[in-house]
Amino acid sequence: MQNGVDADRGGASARRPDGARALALTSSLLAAFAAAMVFYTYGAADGLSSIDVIRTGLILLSTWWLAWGAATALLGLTSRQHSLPPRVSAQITGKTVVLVPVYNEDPTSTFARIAAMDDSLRALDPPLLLDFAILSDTTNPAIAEAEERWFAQLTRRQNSLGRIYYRRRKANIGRKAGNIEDFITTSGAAWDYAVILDADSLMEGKTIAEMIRRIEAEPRLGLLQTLPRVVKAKSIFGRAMQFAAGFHSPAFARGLAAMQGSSGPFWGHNAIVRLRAWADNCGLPELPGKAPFGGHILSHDSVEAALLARGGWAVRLDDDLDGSYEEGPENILDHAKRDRRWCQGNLQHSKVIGAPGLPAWSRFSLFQGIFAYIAPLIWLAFIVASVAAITWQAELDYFPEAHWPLPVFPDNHAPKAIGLALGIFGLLVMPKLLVGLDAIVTGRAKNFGGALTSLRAVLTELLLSSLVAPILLAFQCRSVFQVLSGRDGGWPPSNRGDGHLSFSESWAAGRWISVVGLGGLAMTHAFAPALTLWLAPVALPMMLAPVLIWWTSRPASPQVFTVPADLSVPDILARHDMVLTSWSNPIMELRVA
Amino acid sequence: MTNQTTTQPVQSASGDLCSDASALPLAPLAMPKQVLTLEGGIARRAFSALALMIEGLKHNFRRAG
Repeated sequence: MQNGVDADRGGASARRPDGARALALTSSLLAAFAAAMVFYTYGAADGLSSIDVIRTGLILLSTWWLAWGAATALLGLTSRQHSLPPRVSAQITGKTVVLVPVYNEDPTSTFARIAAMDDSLRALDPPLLLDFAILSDTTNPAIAEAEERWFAQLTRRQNSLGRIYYRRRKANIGRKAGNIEDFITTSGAAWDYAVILDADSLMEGKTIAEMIRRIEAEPRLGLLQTLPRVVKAKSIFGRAMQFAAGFHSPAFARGLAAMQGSSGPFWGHNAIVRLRAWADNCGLPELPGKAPFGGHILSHDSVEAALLARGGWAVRLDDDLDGSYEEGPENILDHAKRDRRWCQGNLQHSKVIGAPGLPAWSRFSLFQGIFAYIAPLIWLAFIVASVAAITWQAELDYFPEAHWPLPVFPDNHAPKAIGLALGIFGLLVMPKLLVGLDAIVTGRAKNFGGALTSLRAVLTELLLSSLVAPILLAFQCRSVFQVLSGRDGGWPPSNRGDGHLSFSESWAAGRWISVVGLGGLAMTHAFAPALTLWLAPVALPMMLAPVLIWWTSRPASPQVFTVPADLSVPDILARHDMVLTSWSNPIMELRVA
Repeated sequence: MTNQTTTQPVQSASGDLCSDASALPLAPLAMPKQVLTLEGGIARRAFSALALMIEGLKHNFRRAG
């Protein structure tokens, strides 16, 4: 054994992903070309027009994107044995700091998370005393004042002055990436590793300790990312997202892990980095030009992962690491707000994708991030082109041959169209159904309330996500148009809380989607009535957007979308709740102290 | 286990803990700005590759001549 890594299992950074990549790419391209061919023969049945060629191209692209997601999930379901990380046993020798960047967050909850994680680390055998640095970019004076007050409370409780730090920047240059850069250029040399968290991150002490051991065990490992589970969701939308993240994401993450090799992802938090590698490679410049494409890099995490890989450092996702948590948006509007930020950040990567020296997979990862926001536009373009194609369709000529008295009926290609639609629908739902089946077969479904409960949750989530998808598509399309028209989305703080929306809020935010849905359906009915039924699954949820936005923000029963944290509360969540309770009850706080 | 405390709490004359103790230690680590844009990368490399190709063609013409 070297560096604490089991030699027989090999360093996980040395995984060979070429086969997995080739398999996923080939199968998704084959599916895309097959779909395009079927559509081409269907479109060409009544004579090929330029709009048919355009629609075939759009089908090719959108089917590839769906098939790529399905291939990733299938790889994840079949590559479990290959993606095991190395077992490590070495003692921790390096110095680690836990970074908690905050930006107008609720300091009570955030600082209680730090107390809970510190308690969890100190409860290890032997105890682990890590340093924490709260890096505040808060601009709201009232919240800043509260942060200072709660910091005093935190240091008193943890007896940690000189170990838990708090600093607030006056000017938040470069946002979160700039915040961390400011810390590193001021104090980074004092530590070997940094665990980077978000304000809503929670990690078990044993998970943090294991991450430190793993990065110490592999000298070429620059960044180790965990797969955070969404917790504490209360609304219908939040609990559905929480279930999907907990139930489906591991398979997708394992598929990603099988393909990424040493050019893995960084999601901006719940990860550990080697500070010197980070400092040498991750100094982000301002991009030339004005926002939204120029200026500071918004989605900095993908770029930082690519830069570490360019510098020869391994970036790895270890999906087996439990005890890593985050909170998610509780309603569609908060989701759309976060997505607007990600949209601008990912589209901005078009300026970075050609950076010199990046590994091919890093470029492909950046491309995927960009394509994720182009894909909704492709679907939209396909719908518009399909309506236009029928509108401009020439009258059928039953007597194409001169001097031939009998009519010639065109071949019936409707089965091809229906088959294609079913195939595309299958690519959408098949990965989730297979993950559900796998969970039942392997017994993982027990953690989600058993086979029947989890199967019901999978089907309900499928139905709910199908209803919500057209609304999210509308928000995504608006975001892309805003970015392309030069509108900067700024840096709105994240909303944390129960996320319940009133109907008037939902109406104000969603009525434009109703108008677009109603207008689209009316125009389709007027110009291409044959497509009305086909468009209904997209247009009807759009017309009901305010109702769906409001309804999905309502509290959900804890029995709906059961996740493991509902059945057995993780230690770190219990600790967090205990700190919060004690802080709201001074007598209990005295007892805890 | 590993006590990683990097600075000790500072006691003031009155015995209270000074706020200085919460200040981060001064230990700068340089973060050089990375080259990300096309100007410094692909464009220059493409130009260099083109120049090399022209040189190669010239060489071949000379040899053929």
